[in-house]
Amino acid sequence: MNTESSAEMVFNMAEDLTIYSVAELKDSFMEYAEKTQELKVTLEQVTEFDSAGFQLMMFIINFANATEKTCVIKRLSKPVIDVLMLLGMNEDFSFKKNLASQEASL
Amino acid sequence: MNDEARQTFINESEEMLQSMEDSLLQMEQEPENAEYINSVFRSMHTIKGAAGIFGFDFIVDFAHPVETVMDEVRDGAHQVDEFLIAWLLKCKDHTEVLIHNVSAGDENNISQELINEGEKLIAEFSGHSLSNTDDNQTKSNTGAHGAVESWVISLDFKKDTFRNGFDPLSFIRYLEKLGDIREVITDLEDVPFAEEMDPESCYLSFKILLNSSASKAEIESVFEFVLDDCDIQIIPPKTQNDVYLNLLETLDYEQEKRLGEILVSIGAITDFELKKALAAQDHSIDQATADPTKAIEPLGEILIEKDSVSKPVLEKALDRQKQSREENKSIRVDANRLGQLINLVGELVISNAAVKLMVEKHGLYDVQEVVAEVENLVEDIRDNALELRMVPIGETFSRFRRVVRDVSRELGKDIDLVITGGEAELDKTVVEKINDPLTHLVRNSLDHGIETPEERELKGKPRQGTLTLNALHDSGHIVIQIADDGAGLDAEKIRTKAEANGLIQPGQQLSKRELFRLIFEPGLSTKQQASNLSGRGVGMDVVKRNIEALRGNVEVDSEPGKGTLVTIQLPLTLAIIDGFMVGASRERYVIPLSMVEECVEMDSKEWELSETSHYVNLRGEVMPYLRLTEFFSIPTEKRLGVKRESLVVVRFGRNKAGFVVDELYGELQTVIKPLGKLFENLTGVTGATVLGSGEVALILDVQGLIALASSGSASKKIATDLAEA
Repeated sequence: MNTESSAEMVFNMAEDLTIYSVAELKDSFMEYAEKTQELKVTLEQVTEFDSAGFQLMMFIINFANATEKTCVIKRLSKPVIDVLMLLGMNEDFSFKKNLASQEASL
Repeated sequence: MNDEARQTFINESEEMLQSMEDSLLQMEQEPENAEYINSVFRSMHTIKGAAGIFGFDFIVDFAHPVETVMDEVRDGAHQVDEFLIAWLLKCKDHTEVLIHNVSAGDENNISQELINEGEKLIAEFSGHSLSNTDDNQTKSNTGAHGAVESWVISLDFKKDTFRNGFDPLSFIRYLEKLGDIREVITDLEDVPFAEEMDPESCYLSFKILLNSSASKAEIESVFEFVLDDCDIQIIPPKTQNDVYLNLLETLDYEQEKRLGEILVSIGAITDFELKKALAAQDHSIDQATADPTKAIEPLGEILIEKDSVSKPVLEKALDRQKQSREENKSIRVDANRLGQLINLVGELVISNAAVKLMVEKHGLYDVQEVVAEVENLVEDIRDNALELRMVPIGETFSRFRRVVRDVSRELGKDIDLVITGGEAELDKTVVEKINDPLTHLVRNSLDHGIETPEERELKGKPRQGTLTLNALHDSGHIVIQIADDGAGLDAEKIRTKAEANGLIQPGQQLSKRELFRLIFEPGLSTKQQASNLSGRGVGMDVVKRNIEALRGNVEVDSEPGKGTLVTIQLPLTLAIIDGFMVGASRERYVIPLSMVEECVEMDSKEWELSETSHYVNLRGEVMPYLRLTEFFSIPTEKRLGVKRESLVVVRFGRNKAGFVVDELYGELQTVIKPLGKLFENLTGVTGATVLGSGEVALILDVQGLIALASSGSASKKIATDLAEA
């Protein structure tokens, strides 16, 4: 389950970050986000991570950007890192390389 | 089975075997070329299939394992090497024997011996391949996958993907099994960033660069289950486009195919892409029916729009489709029926001449124009009908690949066969009859002409000898040349031999060409040891006789140490020719127009006859002449008054001569009617034709007459023979 540490206002993602929990997680996140300008999300507990979970994470980042809040994502678990590696992303969910040059050559 | 079906089976199988042999010989040159491998497979496959339909189990039993081997060769399990080609050639020969049994009607009495032979042949391969398996395995593993470049796979998932139980990431993970994922671009632009974002809806799309040697269909199959929930685009790497283009180039369709089928068969698009494109086309058809101003979108354009296929591949496919349509327009026709058609056209030509004559006789000037038009049409029909029987000589030429290959091995020689001008066409009946003389001449060159590699090296020539077969058209004739770079003819040896045989007088003055011509005389062979391949002095005379029977001519030229060139001249057709009609006294004669150089009237100062030496001097050029009235002994009392004679200059090959005639009638479409057995050996005439008036005109054998004129005394004897006959 997600927990909110009142001292630091950290959002701890649940073990299951999949299609089965994303709806609930989004709701709790939105509640959490309303309370703070500095979004801190930890992923150390995540053992199940699928496309819906990935999409939720990307939503959180986009949301932070759109609402001009800072966002720190910390302590990634192995399943999360695996997905980021597969998609060629950094641990802060940013993209490693730019394909534009290669696309132009195709 | 009825006879017609049996004959079709035999003909088709023979064609298949011929094409198999051609491909095998080509395979020797280009072992990697998949086209030849496929063609050999197809030949065996087709024969097996047809034999199965007709219940010739003994053929199926043999062809099946051969086909299996070819299939394995296609998969890279066996290497194309000398052994394989030699073995397949033997299989081709064995199949031919089996098919001959069918044509002889012996299909129910196949000897056990023959069956054993086939089994032995099959066993020969299994034995060889077992000992080579390891070797082949490593080769095929290293050689199979060539250069790879990246595929670009675009995946645009639909909203319900998650709800339908699919996890897009799992597909990307699975894709790793097909190759190396070089990069993934995740497109998040569609993900809303506020309340309206439904975390259970999928907003993801990906672009993936994949390095893989898998085919488009294999890649698509990864997404098989999610096809309905995802828009997929698979764009092949540039190198793959070249692969498609090559495949299109080598594809050989037995049946006309639709564009989509062609593209799917080469793997350029997948079945799913085709279905989607067709659905889009259906939609466009619906729109077009509803609104006539809208055009139906062609399938190719839809495919390009959807990036399913690249433009060059599509264009090539359309091109191939067009070609295959054209190829499939040909039909097989019984040669006899064509013969009948040509006979009828011949009759039409004669009847038309009769009509023309009647119109002139009765002065029906208003009909003349119509008659002229009909005549033009008849001429066109004649040309077209004759063209139906025209076949390129290339096929006949390429049969010699096998002969050259086998004979040069047998003799321990290294000989390359070069074929040029194979597209030159001539009448099928001529082609059929030229095969034997040609075989003889080719074998002669191989056997006596080209030396062994050792001898050649001593003479400072390349070890490999070259035999060239060439064909070209020359004034209504086809010229076939057989050239070798061998030892050449030994003029002195020929002289000695000819003197010994009494063909020429000792010390008789002869030009080089005349000497060489002697090799076509019976009983002259200069090779000390006759081999079993080419003649023992019988043969060259038969070659000459056969060619002359086709109204052709053969000449030989040679340079000692450099090689020999045999030139055959043949008429393009044996049925109808453009003739030039002349008159001698009351008789009419036809000279093939293609041989007529010019006509000159008597009173002109340009020519002068020398009655004593039988030569005519035309503007300084001296040539032999024949006076047709004299030659054919036409009684002079029939000659009407004092005629002004004309000179018709004819040419055949390098030789020219003049015919002195009484009357020039001009051009005439001439239907050649054979003279029949009784007269077939006459010199001076090759046939006859029926004129519009119903009269018969003889067709002059120009080359025979030139030869007679050149020999000095236009032998009266022959002429009297003819007169008596």
